[in-house]
Amino acid sequence: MKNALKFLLTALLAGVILSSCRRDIELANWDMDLLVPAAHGTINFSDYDSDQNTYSDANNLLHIVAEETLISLGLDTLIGIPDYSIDTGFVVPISLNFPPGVPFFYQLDETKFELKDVELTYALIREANITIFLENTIDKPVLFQYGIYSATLNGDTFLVEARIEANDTLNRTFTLDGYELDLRGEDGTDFNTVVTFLQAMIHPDETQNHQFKAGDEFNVINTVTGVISEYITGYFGNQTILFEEDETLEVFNQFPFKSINITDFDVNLTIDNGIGADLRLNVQRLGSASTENGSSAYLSHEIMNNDQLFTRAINRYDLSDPVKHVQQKFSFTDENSNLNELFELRPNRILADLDIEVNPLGDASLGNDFAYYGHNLTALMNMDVPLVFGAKGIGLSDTSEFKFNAPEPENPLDRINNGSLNLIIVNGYPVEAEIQVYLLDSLNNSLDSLFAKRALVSGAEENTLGQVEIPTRSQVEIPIDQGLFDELEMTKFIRVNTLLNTVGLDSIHLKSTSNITYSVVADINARTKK
Amino acid sequence: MRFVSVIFLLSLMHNAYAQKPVNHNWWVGSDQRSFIMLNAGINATSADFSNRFVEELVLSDQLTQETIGNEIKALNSSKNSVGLDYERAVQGAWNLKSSSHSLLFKIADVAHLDANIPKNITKLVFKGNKSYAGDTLDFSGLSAMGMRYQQMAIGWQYQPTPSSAVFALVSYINGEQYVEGDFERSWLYTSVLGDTLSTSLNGGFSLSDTGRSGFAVNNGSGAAIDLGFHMQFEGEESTWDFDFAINNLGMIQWSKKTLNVNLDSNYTWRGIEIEDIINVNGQFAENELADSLSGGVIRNINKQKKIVWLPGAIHAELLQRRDAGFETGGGWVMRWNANFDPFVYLKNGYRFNDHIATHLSVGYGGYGTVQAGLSGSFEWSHFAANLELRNLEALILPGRFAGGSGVVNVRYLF
Repeated sequence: MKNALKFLLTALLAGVILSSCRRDIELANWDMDLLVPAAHGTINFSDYDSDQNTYSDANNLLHIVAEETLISLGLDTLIGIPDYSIDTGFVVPISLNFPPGVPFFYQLDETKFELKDVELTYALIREANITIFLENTIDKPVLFQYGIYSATLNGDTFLVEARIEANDTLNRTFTLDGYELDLRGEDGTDFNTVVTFLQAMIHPDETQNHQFKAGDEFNVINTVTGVISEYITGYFGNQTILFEEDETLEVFNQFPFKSINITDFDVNLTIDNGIGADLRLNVQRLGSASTENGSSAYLSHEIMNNDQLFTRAINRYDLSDPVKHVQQKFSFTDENSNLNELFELRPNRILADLDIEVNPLGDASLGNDFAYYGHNLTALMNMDVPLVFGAKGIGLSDTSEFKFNAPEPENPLDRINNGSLNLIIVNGYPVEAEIQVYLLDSLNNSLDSLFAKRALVSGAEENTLGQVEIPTRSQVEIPIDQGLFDELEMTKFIRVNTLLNTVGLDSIHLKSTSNITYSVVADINARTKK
Repeated sequence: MRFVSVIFLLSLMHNAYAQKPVNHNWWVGSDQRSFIMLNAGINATSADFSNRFVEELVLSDQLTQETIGNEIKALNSSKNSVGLDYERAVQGAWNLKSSSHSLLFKIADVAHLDANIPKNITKLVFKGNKSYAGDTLDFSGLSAMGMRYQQMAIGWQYQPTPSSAVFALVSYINGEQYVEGDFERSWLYTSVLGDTLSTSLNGGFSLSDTGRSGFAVNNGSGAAIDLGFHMQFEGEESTWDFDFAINNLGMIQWSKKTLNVNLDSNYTWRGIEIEDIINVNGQFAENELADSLSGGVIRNINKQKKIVWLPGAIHAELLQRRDAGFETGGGWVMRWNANFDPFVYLKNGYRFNDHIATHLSVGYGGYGTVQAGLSGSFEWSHFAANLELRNLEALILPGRFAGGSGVVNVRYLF
């Protein structure tokens, strides 16, 4: 027993001693030279065309295409039916005794719109509202009946019948959508004329006669608003409309350049007449201007100041395809115009003065001019510019928000002694670039720049066929150290300034098959411990 | 890379045991007696790495490029073994009523780690890849295995004659931690400009549940047996003791939360792809790099049970015993699941009297080449102690060998 106790005590003591002898090992630091790819990517100009304004032709040459509607004249511009209001109140002149159900007032009225020289005989209403206000000042309920004889829907005349209680009013709005308007008046020979009628009686449900007093009055006001026609016919008059356009142009603000030479372009101006009236177009002036440098240029082309006559569109009388348009196309090329000069001055305004005369030959259709909703007179400019150009000093600047997220909790960047981020660029475009990147604080103050001087990215040389055979390789080094990381943490915005120049003296060709590939490589000396 | 680094660095820790496991000697002489013994051993050995390198790595603040360069220069291209073993144990025998039967017990805390570290992975870890731009660093054959476990054993010893004994123990094994990696094919190519890294990996690794860590946590369970016998022969003016033991013949089944990753892939990394250079911000999502890499190389990953053989050993030793004078002897060690070459050794020494003796051993194999050790033993009627220092070659030639090993045991006899 004594031995057993010794045995247990010794074993316990030994266990305590042995379990207490542990030590954590902390390794020394050492430095390593690392070459690690950080990022890579490819830039292709056409990838940044979010509006799909570029395409590639059979020779892989990129083209910029654009379609711009310069003018669109429709029904509302040429022959709009105005809002109108008719006040048809009346006063009882003498004392009268009238039984219920017998009209004590009846009036047929013609209203003629003022449309200058336009003489409309028919209109199909696409949208319109009519608001009717009725006021009864006597002690009996009155039955009013208001109708527009000129307006029919599937053969039914527009008619409103309403009971107005004693000394009460009614104010209700009705739609005229889909109604046909015969604008020829009561005898069918007039134009721009609407025929209406109003009738009033003591309501037939009443059992006793009413004694009108002299001076009893009734107010009736009907207001037609928001008339949009689906189809109109008549004579549209001989009217001249002058357009003086001064449009802001922003596209070149994004691509400022010192000089550019566009050598090839194909621009078409299409005049599309969807209106059933003869037209004359005269482009008096079409130009561009730069308020920045005060320069301007005006188009020289045969279309300028020469009347262009357009015959009327043809009415098919088919609502699914009602109009056969008449088109005329004018082509602007580098041979017949100086359009390139308008672009090359880096304009921020487009100026256009033109006038349009409707029915220059008078009422040649004998009152059968027509217009459908959505079938307008338009001037459409289609532009196709192959990217064959020479440019110097295209300055691009882009500022974007920036946030440097240091990895947590143990920031491995703290272990970097020194090194550089190597930007390796393989440029397949014949465009060289000078790049500088600025780190900005929250007030847009510059903290530092990434490059000691502007980084130069060489452009590739084209052969005589306008092809890049060998892309150029450039390498730009961004020195990095702990100071840079501190600045990155303070950076709230980053601004990239880029200056682009085409390579060589002549124009270069931007191909869809070309691109810029880039790799960012971290070339660093790092330690294993912070 | 981090995994490789951790394995490599762990393999150089002092707290380990290796070359010849702690000798659990149950023989105390012709008369069976009860005893209790504290037994602790640490062995770290490598014929390829040097003590100078290890000491600077572990004991200094800064590992110099000169030391790294010298170390890399001395390494073999494909095979550089390191082995580390550590064990601390309390063991004892309780002689039953002074008969020829004794009950045995042992409680031990054991750690093992072995690794083969090709030269090129050392270059990569300690120098980085920049010096090898435009070149391929082939580190195929990289492997490592480590485990830590606790062992509770009970057994029995029978001494049929005064000069012989047999013993057997059965152990319960508590698996605390396990890590194993083996890459049959592995290389890294760095392009001249550094814009491309290509790697090829074929292999895998396993990790026991990393969510449970700490001394003696249970991440697996197993069993093992120890078997052996002792025989004593009479010679001219001396006796000869022959010991034979099989230690840790058994397995651990690691839990179902053991991570197993198999890789067989070629992968090229060119950095994060930025699809829109204009809007760079926000394209560096957190963990994108890690996700990208893992998505490219991991072929198969799962968590499931894994059964692993213990790094056991067979040990045979023949030693001469005199009353006083020169003694000689030798032994042989073979281990399994330990990446261990057979180890043979000669042991010569001088016994001053019945109580004190000292021996010098010289061996070859294991995790190293030539290894030397010095031991001293002290024996009295109720007390015995043995102190042994191994890997003297690494102390004498720290720039050529690596190792630091020692065994101490203290025994109290009743």
